[in-house]
Amino acid sequence: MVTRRSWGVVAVVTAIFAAAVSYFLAAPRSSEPPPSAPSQGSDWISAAADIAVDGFDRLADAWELALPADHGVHSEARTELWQVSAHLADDDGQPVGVQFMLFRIGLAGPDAPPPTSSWEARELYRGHVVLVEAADAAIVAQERFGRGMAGLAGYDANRGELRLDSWSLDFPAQENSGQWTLNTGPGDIRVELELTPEKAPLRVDSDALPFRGYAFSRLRAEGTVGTQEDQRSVSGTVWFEHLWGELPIPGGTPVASDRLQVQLDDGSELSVVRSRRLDGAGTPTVEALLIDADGSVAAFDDDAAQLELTRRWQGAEAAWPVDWELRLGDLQLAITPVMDAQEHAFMVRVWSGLVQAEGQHGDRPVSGLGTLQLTGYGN
Amino acid sequence: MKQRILIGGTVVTLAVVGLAIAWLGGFLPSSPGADPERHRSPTGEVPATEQRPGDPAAGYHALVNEAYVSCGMPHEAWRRLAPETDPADLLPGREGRNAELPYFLTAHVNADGVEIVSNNCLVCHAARIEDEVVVGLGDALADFTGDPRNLVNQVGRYVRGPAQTAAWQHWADRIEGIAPYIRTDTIGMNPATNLSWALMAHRDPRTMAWSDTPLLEPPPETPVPLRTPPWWWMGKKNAMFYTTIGRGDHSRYMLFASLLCADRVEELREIDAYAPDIRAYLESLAPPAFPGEIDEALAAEGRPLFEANCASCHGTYGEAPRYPNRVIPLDQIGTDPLYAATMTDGSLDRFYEWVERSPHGGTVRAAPAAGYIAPPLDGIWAVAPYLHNGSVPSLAALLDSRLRPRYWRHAETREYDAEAMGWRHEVLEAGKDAAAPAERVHIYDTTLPGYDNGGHYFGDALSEQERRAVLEYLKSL
Repeated sequence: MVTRRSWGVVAVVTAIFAAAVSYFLAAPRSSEPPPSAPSQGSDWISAAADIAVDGFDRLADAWELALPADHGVHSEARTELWQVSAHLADDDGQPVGVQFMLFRIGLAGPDAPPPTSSWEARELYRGHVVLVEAADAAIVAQERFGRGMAGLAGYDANRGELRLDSWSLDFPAQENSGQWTLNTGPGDIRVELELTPEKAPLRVDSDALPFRGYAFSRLRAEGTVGTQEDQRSVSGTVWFEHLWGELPIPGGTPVASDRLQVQLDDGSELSVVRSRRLDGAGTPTVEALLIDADGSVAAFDDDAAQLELTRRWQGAEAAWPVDWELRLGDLQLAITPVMDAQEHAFMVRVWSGLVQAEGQHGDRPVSGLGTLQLTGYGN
Repeated sequence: MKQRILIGGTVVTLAVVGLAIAWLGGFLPSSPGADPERHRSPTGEVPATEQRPGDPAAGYHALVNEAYVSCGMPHEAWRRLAPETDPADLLPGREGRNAELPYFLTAHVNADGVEIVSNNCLVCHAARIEDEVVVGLGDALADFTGDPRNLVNQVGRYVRGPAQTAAWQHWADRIEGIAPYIRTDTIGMNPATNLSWALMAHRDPRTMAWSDTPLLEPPPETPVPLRTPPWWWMGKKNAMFYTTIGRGDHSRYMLFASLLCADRVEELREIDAYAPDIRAYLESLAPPAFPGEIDEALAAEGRPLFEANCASCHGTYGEAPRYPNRVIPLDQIGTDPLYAATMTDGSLDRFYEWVERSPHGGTVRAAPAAGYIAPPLDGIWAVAPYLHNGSVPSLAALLDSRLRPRYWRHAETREYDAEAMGWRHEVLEAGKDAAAPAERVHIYDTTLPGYDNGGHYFGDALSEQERRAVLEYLKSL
């Protein structure tokens, strides 16, 4: 069929699935950079994108998702990310959001000679955590960097533990049983969540994409946030993604993408990627994906996905489009942030925050919480 | 995606002739655009035009190696998205990077040192049959139903550095300019004609300079449904395309394909230097032989029937072949009139004038006739689906209009039906409206504008046995 011969068409079609499942890499930076932090964030990103150009081949071998092994590091891949987006409520029902992201850059390909010393860095890690509490309009965030080293940064296969300093994500030893544990938090605030998958993982794999991975679009989450003195119980749902291969590096390319993930109270989830040219030319494109309560997936392209940016919020460095109106087939949603000021001066300047969704799915009213990540605005 | 680039170009030979006559007559026409008849051709016989000679071998080399489409994706970014090249998609005679690219892509290094990968002519004008690329066969499954801007942004996510970014922007700007006009609603339909109008709308015909905002009123957004005809008919045809719009120097007309990216007259001239070689190669192309058994006795029975009933329009074959080059008026042929009508109703004349004012004006002209040329039938077995709009899935149905399905789609796997003479298809109960959105692009719905499957009823008068004999004979062409 034509798909065999016209790769472009394939790329478009498959990316609608895969891209929407996940590939947007938010690479936010700490909201309060220390005075010594480099101000040329995007230069750092370009450099990061260049670091490991050689030594890695495009992933091409056949792959079947195998958990829990695939939770860990794929050292044959140049870049890799793990991302947790938590949409929670406190005891008063007020929205609480947690974003946890870990990004790995391989410094030496799989064919490189073994390191001559344990001090020889083979991997760099970048992570961030953001905690948003709507009740008191509080937002705290932190960004960290580290190099791969046993016990400090990386994945411990024996323990099933992904770690960057004191932040960790523990996976269960067996594929279909046990809870995951997220232990993170900005500064002296701790976030501890127990996660239980409620839907089977979606596999992201296509000949037309240079990366692969999987997404758990719905895990049940229970836990606490707060300082040691002031712990609050929270519960809700989490979206987890893990991708590896040649991932697009935001800030280093002429295209920027916005990513919206929403978990609705009717048991469905949706993912929307909106991409646009940074030079201001061209027409933005939209790739969207809706996952039903029973786990079936429907993709929407520009024709079927109508998206309007209805309000911008002027932050310190950019006017961010924080309100969206969205129509995907018979799903209609208004997206608004739980508060406007969710801008972060991470390595790449982002607005990355907790949003509320309200609307109709067919004839039923739906609502939910989501995470919206915006990049490439401002100068 | 396959951004296409063919052109319905146009020209002005008539105008030049008219001007000369006017000069001799002692006056100049007051307005060069005054007489729309300059942009029309009569139905009936198409007169021959002398073509510039060329070298077919050099033409093939240029076709599969030269960067006549000079903007595209940075190779480094493309490589991230593209899968491994299927070995069956490789073509012989390709040099350097091209030797490892699929047949429909050509690489070159631009002035900034960035290696660019672009679609070439073969994106529409070649197709796989089994594991073989048949150069010249219009791809019946080429898919232009998606928005090419998705690919632009996907590639852009892997573009790095100022030189790559500039190259990508150049291509992205062009795709942005044409994207609204080249989306078809059915897989297999080709938007090339509309593409050419869109490109002309964005270019100054004198300088070739691109303008992001259209300089002429753009064409309608929806392309008229059209099936890509095979290249191996070009040697016999005195004018190009179904309505014989392409007149004069065919090599110049077809290399309007470069309009997607050629921003300077000099670039057009450089391409024109090898264009006659490419035309000579196309003229040298032979159709692929029918892959199955032919019942020679039955075919011999069919030959006199063909010559009595079909040859006056489609010509004779075998020794001393003859091809009459006849455009059949719409009321005689009766096939879907939309294409010929829109080409000749004046609504596109501004583009024919563009051709006239272009650097190739005077040697090519866009002058469609209000009808369709009866094509040569060489290799007709491979050219399914039939008629200019691809509305009839098989030759058996073409010769017996009672068999023509109102709604149909290609079968999931591409397999030739030697009895019906066409790619296997499924007849459907309902059209696009009743189908799920993802299915619609697969459905040929002959109730939609431009898709009508009526007309060309000449086979209906034959007996069943006579039709079988004619079909068998057609396998031998």
